[in-house]
Amino acid sequence: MAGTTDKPNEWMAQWLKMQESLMKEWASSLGKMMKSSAPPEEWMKMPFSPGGLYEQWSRSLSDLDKKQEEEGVGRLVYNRIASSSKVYMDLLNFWSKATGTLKSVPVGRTFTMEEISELRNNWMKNYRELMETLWGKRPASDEESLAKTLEGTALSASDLTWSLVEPILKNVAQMPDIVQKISRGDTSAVRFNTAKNAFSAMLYKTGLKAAEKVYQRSSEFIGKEASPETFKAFYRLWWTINEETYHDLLSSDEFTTMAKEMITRGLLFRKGFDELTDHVLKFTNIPGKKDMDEIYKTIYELKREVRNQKRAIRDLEKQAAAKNRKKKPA
Amino acid sequence: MADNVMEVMMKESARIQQKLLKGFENMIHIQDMEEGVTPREVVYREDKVQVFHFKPEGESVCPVPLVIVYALVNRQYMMDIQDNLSLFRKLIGQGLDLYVIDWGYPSKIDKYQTLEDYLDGYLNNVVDFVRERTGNEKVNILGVCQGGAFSTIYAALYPEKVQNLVVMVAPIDLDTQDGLLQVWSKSFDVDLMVDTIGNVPGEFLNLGFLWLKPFQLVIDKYVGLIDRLDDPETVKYFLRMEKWIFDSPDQAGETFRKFVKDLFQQNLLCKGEFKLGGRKVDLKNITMPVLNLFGEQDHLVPPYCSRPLADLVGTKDVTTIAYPVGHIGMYVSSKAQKEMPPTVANWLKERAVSKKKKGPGKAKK
Repeated sequence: MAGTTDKPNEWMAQWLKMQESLMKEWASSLGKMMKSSAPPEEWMKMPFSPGGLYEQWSRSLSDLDKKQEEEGVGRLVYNRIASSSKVYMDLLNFWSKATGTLKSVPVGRTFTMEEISELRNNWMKNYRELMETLWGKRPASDEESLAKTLEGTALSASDLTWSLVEPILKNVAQMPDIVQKISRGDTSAVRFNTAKNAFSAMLYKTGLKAAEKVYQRSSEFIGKEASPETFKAFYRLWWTINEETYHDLLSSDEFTTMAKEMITRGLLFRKGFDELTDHVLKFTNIPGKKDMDEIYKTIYELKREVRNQKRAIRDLEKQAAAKNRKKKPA
Repeated sequence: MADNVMEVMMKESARIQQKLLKGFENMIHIQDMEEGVTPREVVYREDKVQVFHFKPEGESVCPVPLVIVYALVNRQYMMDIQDNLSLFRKLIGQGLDLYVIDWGYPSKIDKYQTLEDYLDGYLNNVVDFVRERTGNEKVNILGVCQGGAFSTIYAALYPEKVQNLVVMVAPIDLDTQDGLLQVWSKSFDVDLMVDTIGNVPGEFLNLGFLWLKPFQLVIDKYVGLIDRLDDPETVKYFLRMEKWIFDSPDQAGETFRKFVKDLFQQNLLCKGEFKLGGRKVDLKNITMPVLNLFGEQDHLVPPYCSRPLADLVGTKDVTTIAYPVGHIGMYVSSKAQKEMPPTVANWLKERAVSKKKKGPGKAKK
């Protein structure tokens, strides 16, 4: 395949060996677990449950992957697939718990309001746990603790939010310590953080809205046998409901207003940061943003001038050629 | 029931692990994928722009060359993604003499580059180059996506150089509250963005595209692939597509500013008020035949953005064809792959009146 580089990977053998020993360990622990007196519901909480094992497995794969120095398209895409498979496995974990809850519902029985409420609360509690593994911890009500809650989570709503502004703020993002020092007392940083947190909270709130809709539809699964197909149907229901719910948000004025606010605040923060950097660089021999912009502009104008001159020369050559053709006798 | 659940979890976990392992083996060592598969020759270069020539095949060769103008936001090799899914290959197979513009990757130094530079500068130079090289007075132009809007503007400004205009999924009428991209782009402060960061990162635009269908494009697309990770050909096709999707050049700041403000925010082209280089762009100047192709399920450039072109141009020879596909499906779906190349080729050949230029034939690179 032209243009495709397939490099031999010596570490693959090492990884396969590790994989084999991990599988053996899993099989042995699973055997012990199934023989134990613990009820099946408790198995999910054990360290070698399928969910826990999957976590360990993907961690070991990721550790090994990190040892690779080159970042090719195969690795990049594999990482995207691995992230999505984690979502899928987390949902599988949730489904197993939810199925456990639903199995206690005899088909056709009439429930009291309290029982319905308890069922719903259990379901939502489990779903919130799923959301925490997917999007980070539930945002708190006040801005400060909200920021703290969202800080440092692996795949949080704030990460998603940050991913939207990161491309336009990347130089700033690379220097968090400096940013923190110089932005102390700078209102643009505070305003940006506030807008970012409000945006994250809006995404999280929408996730809860979707949860409610998924819950309302989950009664469709009562009485259905637990099988890979049932789980796949649940997975489809889950992502399509989320897609629809988020689509409603993305089409709303609320989203447009808050996204605009966050991006504007982010840009104003960056503008302030650039101005400050230029100010500091004045005391050095290093050119600042303004200096570089002047250089870029000059080069651009020169290039444009050259292009215009070339075109003018070409036109003159054509005119001359046409004149010569006319002069030549037939 | 709980035993069943446990069993399902075990089976699913084991299945996913097995497939991921296979995928790991199949893809982790692949460093890069090709950018186009059909043999080509670089025939023109100017700054970061280059032009590829694809020689026509077959007996019935169209006498007028076709210049393909792709968008700035992605790369042209989507139309040549792999052997069995290459529109370029199929177009040359239909006897079309193809010249394809690769706009390249603008860097910081290009932040002041304007839409005038792209259209009056690079595109006009490329068209002149192809006219000189082939000895034709006029060329055919096929504009794709944003390149469709560029081609339409160009054809209105330089009708004397364009024999036929073909546009594919071209955003023309942007006065809508339905398309999310159209709605979002109306709201944000493009001046603040360009003044602050200069070039607009391709990553940022790509995120905008992904947010249109976040669960489908960020989760389900990859989950859906897990089952097919053990098929090396599927994996390679997927990698080619992924490489293309995330291969988004940054946008030259000044070009982005004008494109978003004039076209997306104010819909000036459609209103007949768009100006380029001080000249009003009157779409009624488009008196050459027009072929307008778009996807009925396109969520990036919805049909109502492309369809109105027929009412705006100055020719009655307008052919409008809607395919039952989405934006990407226009390039790679089996329907589009099968039907579009012969449709375009036959339409062009029927309207190909080659008027040879006087003077030298071959142009300098």
